[in-house]
Amino acid sequence: MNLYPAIDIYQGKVVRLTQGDYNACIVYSEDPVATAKGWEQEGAQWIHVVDLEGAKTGTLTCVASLAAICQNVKAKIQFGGGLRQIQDIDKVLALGVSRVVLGTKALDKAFLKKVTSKFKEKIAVGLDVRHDKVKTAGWIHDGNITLPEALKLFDQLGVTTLIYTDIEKDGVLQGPSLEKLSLVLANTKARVILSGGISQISDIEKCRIIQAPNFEGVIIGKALYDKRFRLSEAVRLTA
Amino acid sequence: MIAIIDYGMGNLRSVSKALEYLGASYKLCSKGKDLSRATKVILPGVGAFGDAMKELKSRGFIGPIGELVARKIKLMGVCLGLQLFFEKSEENPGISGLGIFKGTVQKFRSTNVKIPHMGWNDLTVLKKHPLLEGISSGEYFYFVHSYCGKPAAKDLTLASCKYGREDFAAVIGNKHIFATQFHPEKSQEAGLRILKNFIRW
Repeated sequence: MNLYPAIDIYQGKVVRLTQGDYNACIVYSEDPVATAKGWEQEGAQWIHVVDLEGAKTGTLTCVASLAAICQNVKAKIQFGGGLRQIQDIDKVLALGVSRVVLGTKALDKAFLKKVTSKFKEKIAVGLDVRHDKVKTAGWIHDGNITLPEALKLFDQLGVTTLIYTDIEKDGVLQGPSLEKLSLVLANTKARVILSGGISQISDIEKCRIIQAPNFEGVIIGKALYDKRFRLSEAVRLTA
Repeated sequence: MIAIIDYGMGNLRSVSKALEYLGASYKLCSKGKDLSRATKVILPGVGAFGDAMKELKSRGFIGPIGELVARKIKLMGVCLGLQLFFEKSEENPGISGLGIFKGTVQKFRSTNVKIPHMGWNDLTVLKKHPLLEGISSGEYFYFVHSYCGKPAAKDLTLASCKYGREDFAAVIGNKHIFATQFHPEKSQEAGLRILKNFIRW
């Protein structure tokens, strides 16, 4: 199981939203590179970077921060938010990003097929779910695809990594819904990264014993920023 | 058959998952006698040296591991697994290791860096080995450790790594035994290449 400490960037700052609400935004740091270096010093193997502004507007906005993070840490970078075009994906991969996350746009079948055949394992699809429905466009507009439909479609289209977010659990520090996660794991061939809901070190312990071979890891955000536990503790627990 | 020694010390599941991902079959062995039919063996492990030796002993692994070494069965150690191949460790001075290799396990001496050494670091490949095929100096691997093995025979070190001012053995091995201080199962493509080489070895 791999740990993905999150860095959400909004207007050049490190922030956290609660349940995707742009009005409930807390600024944690003015310096994303310093945050990335901090995670690296605590043993981060991966860092999950999100361009929140991009996720909202559909255009890539935090190139400078992203480039600086890639240049200053050895941890692998997974990046998402605002990636809607092939040339944007090319651009961020050229900066040194190891894996890109597609959200909204990925639900366009033709586009998804094109990018999975071009970029293969470098593509992950964000699966934002609320009440068993897959959400799109930075959580503002409702998608019209159910979870099982989406999982089947993604397998068919060659998606090898899914990032599963249970929006109801994201940023509210109540612990992940592991039943739902196991349902997702059982219904896809893709590797699944859980996002949202990790609130204490015991949640890491619970995830660590998940048997499914396609369980890839967890993204941890608010719990780390609120110092509920240290990343280094979780790294040692899951090593 | 690849046997993974299951003695309650850490990263077993991430190792077995990586093998599954590479399409290799394996067996988890929780008792020493289960190793008798193994053709290749992995000793994983995360935690303290002394606890690990205690667990290996109580599950009857000490004799059978010695036998597989004598029978030249291919054996791979990962992280703490590497350290257990030595005679003793500064972590638990009174406790004997497996003693497959002469030498001791020592705490990092550098004072200018954070201990444990956690994160990605790059290798300097010193010697050829079938398990390092396709791996070149400068490639990054994922480490989590506070101690490192110091083999008495210098030619056992296949690749080294620098942390602080200290060069330490990141990969050790000979014809039948191979061990990495880093976690290949957590080191992405480069790590998977080593596991793939192990499957083919």
